[in-house]
Amino acid sequence: MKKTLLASSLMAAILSSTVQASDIDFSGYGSIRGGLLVNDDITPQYFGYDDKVDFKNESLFALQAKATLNEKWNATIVLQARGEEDFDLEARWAYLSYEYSPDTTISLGRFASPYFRNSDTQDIGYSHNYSRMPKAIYLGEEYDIIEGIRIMHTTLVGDGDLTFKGSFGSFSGEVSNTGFELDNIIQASVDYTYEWFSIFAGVLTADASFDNKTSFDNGLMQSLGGLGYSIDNSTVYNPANVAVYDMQDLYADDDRTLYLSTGFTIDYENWLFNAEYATYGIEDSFVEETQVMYVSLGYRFDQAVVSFVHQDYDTSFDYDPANSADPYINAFATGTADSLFKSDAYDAQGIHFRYDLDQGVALKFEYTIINNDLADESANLVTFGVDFIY
Amino acid sequence: MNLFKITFTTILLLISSVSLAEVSVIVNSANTESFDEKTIKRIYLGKIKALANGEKVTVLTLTDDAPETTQFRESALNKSNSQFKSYWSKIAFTGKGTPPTEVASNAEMINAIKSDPSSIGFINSNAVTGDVKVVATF
Repeated sequence: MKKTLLASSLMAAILSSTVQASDIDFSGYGSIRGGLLVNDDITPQYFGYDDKVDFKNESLFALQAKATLNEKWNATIVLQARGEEDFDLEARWAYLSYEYSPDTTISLGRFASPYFRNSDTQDIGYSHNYSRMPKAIYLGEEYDIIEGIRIMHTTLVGDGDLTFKGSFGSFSGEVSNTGFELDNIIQASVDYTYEWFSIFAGVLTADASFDNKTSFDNGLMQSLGGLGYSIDNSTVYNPANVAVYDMQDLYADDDRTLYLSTGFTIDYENWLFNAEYATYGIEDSFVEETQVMYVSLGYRFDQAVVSFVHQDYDTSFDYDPANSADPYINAFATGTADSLFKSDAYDAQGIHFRYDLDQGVALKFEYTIINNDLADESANLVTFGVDFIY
Repeated sequence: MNLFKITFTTILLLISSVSLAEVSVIVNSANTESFDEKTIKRIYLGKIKALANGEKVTVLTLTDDAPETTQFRESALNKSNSQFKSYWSKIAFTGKGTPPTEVASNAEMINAIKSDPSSIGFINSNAVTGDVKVVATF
């Protein structure tokens, strides 16, 4: 409701009669992307494809309307229709910007949450040379937007440009059909760009709350209810009606989450090198730390770019919440941790092609081998598509 | 043989006229600031948004398919058309800036520069008139 209201009021601001039509710039981007697993011992999580070719999952269309209200103020809305969401139109971004000075801009509204270096451009396929951004880092989670305030400042340092970005806000929505909230999101990042290289460092903290209490409670009752266990107000009682566990240890409720990320890019004489590393986790939960990274080496030909990408996704988790004196409860808590996180770790190697077919149109192709660390099995993924801007 | 000669000469002329076309970066004739190659590059990449006098700079470009545009981006910015567009897509869709405004022809470019004291653009050097000031050539 909140987002609809925000989006519609910005839309109204953009279309209001005081703004002349000539002051509104329309532009946009999109992707038609297909993919499938050609050899699948496993169906890797997060990659979004199985052994049947799919053209919907990662296809999207976006239209940006930017209205210049006056010298200092402008309003922008990005309407996006994603295949994943049945091409339902959503106000992906909607914000009002105030240009305090040519170097400093303050934005208010809804925009991409910069967890990682390219979070705000991950949907714009045309902007990068990969068929899709390395999934180890760019999972395309639904909570990658923030409603709040952002300040951006650029300054010249030496012969290069230093850009500072800071955001404050919150997110509330659904992730995998479960209510999810991030409050007090505080984000800061710096980016330094010199002619042929750039480096980046960023931090983001927030209080995370998952509305998954019922599913944990139901899971416990399904496995142990038959034995006479019961839950009352998040306390678990054993068959002798003795309190043996506090379900709060499993819930994520206002738990602090911290993201740290860094990266650097080299673009020198047609050689392209890119690396990003990030670590994140939610305190007091099973997932102690997720460590993700990719490195890529590419070469730019006349109209084509070829890149080799290595990516790695690793989750370290512990069984701290399995702290009950009751072995059945501990078995449940351990089993829950295993089923949620144990099978996740993987590494992947792939080759990506970009071919610039025409003005604003690029063809993409990817072949990636994904190795699941635990199962020691692999899957081979092919994706292909067209990215465009207009 | 004659036909061959004519064809050959025509091709040669075409090639030379394309590769020898020089592009001039132009500003309003009242503009007294100096623009070195680095500054021009930073303006066209959205890193400088205002002139030294504090006025917001109006950045103009010819269309993507104009040979002058390709030449300017290659020599002054060291970017192909698609690199230039990829670069700007990251900025334009994230609220960090607005890409250069397109004008349709050399003549329109001159008119636009003439009427806006804080504008910058580029045209084919052959089309330069006394109405504008050339600050660099590529």
